[in-house]
Amino acid sequence: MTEGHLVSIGLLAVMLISAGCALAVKDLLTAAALFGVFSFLTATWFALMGAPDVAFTEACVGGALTTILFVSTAFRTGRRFD
Amino acid sequence: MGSTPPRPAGGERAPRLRRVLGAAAFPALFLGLVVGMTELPEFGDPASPASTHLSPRFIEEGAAETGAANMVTAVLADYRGYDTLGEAAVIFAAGLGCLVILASGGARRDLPVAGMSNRFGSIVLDAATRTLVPVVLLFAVYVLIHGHYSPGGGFQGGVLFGSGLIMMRLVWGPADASPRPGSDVPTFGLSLRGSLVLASVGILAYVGIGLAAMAFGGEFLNYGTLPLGSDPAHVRELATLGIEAAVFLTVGGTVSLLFDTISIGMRENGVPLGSERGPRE
Amino acid sequence: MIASLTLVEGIGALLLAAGLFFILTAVIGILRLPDFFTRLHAIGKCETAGLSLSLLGLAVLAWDPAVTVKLVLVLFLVFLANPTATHALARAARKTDVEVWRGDPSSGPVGDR
Repeated sequence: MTEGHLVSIGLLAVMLISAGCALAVKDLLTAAALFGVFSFLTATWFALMGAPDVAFTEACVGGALTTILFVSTAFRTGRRFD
Repeated sequence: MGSTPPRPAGGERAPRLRRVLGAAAFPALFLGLVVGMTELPEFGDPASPASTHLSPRFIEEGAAETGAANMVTAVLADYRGYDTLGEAAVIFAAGLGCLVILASGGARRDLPVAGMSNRFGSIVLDAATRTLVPVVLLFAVYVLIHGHYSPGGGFQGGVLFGSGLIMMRLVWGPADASPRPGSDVPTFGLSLRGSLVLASVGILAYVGIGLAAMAFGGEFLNYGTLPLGSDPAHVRELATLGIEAAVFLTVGGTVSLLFDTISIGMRENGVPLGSERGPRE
Repeated sequence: MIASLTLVEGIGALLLAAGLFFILTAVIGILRLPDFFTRLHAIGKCETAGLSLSLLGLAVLAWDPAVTVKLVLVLFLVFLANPTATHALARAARKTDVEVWRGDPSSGPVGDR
């Protein structure tokens, strides 16, 4: 059980929590923001795994771009999901 | 998508023969894939051809053969050029699909431009965007060019480029909207049509480089034969940069195209980002 | 040589600790303050300060021109982008009539609305 393991476990735990919250919340804007959090954590984890290329892509696409697209889609379709 | 029958008028269903054929095609395809899968080497098998021949070759001779110190770029844009062409085509197709579904009139300039063209931005956002966007765009190009030596390349650079375009769009409104009289809102930026052109040019340049390699006696996307110099590694490096630039254009154009198609819907439905209610300056 | 190195490390650690303090303040502010604008007030300033100080601390700790220059560039970016984002959020909230808390400050923090 090294330090790296602990960091990985903590990161994965927060990823699980944010993914679960993104599924559970009813407000689509909140869900999009939580999904952005999930993406940035994924990017951090990829970087920890030694794959900076993938981490870079994930941070750009998942963290920034899809969040923007989700938010604008939420504005287009209506904010709440019941 | 190409074989999808148009929905018949009056709620009628498609002809029986077509339905039966459609229902039969999927099990047949499934069976074919399963049969094909049994022929593949076991997943993760260290004795499989990919592990014993390809990976060592990529690792040991990648830099010498392609001139790219970053092995990911060497594999992505050179050894696996077909795969990357497919990926770029998928992204381009996704952008086209969004365009067709969400903005089926194409780049309509007669839209009621409420909301987004009433720029959300204040003077603070304006100044910050003027400062930040050039940096973002420049960094995108840096990521593209430096893909040979460090993490990065066409995809990442393209997404960054598209993000810069989207940032301008968010603060200043769409580039094809006529600015309010007397305002100093910059109209720099790509219109929806421009994004589409950019993405198309990118994908065409990719195919064009592949075909050029064929024209000079090589295989499709085998750049070694291009007449760009005497050192084959250097030639491949240049051609790889061309491929990366093509991917950059495709991804950047598609990204801003996606945002544009979605925001056209917002302008149509009158659900602007910066609402008309509330205090105005 | 060793003395100067530890001095550099000490400065870096101090900056990091100060940055963490500000980030902690921002987190406490988000959790305790009553409405959107006051929370934004907490996170806007404290996070910019905390992030900048942390980055400065890391830049000092790295003590390698290539890394330090990059970190300082990131610092400038944060210094530009973070207050702008805060401003945009506040402006969007104001334009969409987000409720402003007009309670009694002396009655203590209220729960999450």
